[in-house]
Amino acid sequence: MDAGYDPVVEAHRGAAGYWPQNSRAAMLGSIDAGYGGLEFDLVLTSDGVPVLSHDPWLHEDLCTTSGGDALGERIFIQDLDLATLQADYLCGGVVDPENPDAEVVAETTMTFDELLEAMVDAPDMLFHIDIKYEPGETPAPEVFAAEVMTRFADADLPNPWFVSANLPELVLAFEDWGDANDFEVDSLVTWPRFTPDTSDAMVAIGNELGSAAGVVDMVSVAEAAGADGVSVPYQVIDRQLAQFTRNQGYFVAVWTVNDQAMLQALQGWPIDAVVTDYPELAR
Amino acid sequence: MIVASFSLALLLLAPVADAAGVRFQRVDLISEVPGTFVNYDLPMFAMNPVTSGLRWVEQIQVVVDLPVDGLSTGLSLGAQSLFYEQPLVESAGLSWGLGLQTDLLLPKGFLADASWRYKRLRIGLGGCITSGATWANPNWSAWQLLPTVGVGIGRSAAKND
Repeated sequence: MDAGYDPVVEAHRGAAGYWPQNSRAAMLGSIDAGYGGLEFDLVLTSDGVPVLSHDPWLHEDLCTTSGGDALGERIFIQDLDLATLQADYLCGGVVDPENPDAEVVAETTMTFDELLEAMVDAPDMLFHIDIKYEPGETPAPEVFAAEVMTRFADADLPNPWFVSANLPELVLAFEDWGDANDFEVDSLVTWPRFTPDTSDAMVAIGNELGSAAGVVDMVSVAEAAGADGVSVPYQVIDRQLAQFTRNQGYFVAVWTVNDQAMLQALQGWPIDAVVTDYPELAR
Repeated sequence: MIVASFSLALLLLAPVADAAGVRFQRVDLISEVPGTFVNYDLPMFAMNPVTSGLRWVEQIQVVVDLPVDGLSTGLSLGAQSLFYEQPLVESAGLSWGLGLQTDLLLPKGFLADASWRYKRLRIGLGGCITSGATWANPNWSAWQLLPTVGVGIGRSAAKND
């Protein structure tokens, strides 16, 4: 392993390899395990409450009605108020095919407020809030920023933290909220941008060739978005580019690395954080 | 596919290049420019083969001699270089060289190497100092020095072969 670098190992969705993703069990388990960082996703209910979920909808395979029945249709979280979401649905009580060894625990959806309370026990843990703005499926970026940041600022946690976002307009909304409220916001923009209409492989190859030719790089992507850094999938990370990005004062996070050899190799790279479903592999 | 298209294009352009005094010299399967493949991508091959494979293709460099003694230019998907090379110990096939690396003609870094030629094989060892400048971010404030290894196959070492 190279010397001189020590990226924080973050528990992806609260270590989805061990517990149901973005669940209460995962968050509390990761805090209890003392992992270096905690990565989780937030969406808003119809009454504006941030709750933990990767997608803007209840996961069709991992969530059920509170009676244990399959959902049968896509249910958007922004169409449910918190009381209904908590009373009528459970998630994590079904084996996750992507993480078949993870514990199976049926729970109500965890709120951001609950997580902020739990974080009091982990003042050094890096807090990585990931937010995805999908026009038409999630509230406007400004609404997202206000609901999340008001709560986070009120919690007054000492933890290092940042927010990552899939779209520049979401980064901008968080940075604007910080400026308006005199609160330092550290933001990352996800790069490259994957879209449902284009295959991930084509996006990655196009990005790779553009990067190799020098017409796109992580610094310019972060600058254009007004972000403090970039969040990059491991498949496209370039070590020299990461080095130059950090040298110019930008933060680099790499996701989602579940191979032990690669996880250990990346711990010697000039990056700030590496996200994994299995943080124990890095120990 | 990319390599095949590239080779076909070179074949078709060969008569034009010949008329301009440009002559094919070699193909570097492992290129010293930009030098990141051997240092960073090759060690990751077992863990991330698709990306490492793509980066290998990106760095394959076709080198052609220019109509000035010792001057050549290299072209790959990832970089272009202008290189000046002179014999060090001619009988032993040893040379020294200095080069300029560009990204779509944006000056990016410098290369110095010593090379050895045997028949159609060229092996180079040297160092490459590369900046973080790109067309998207033309900033030459950050630099990195890397050792380089090059392996090329081309025209026979004997001049006018």
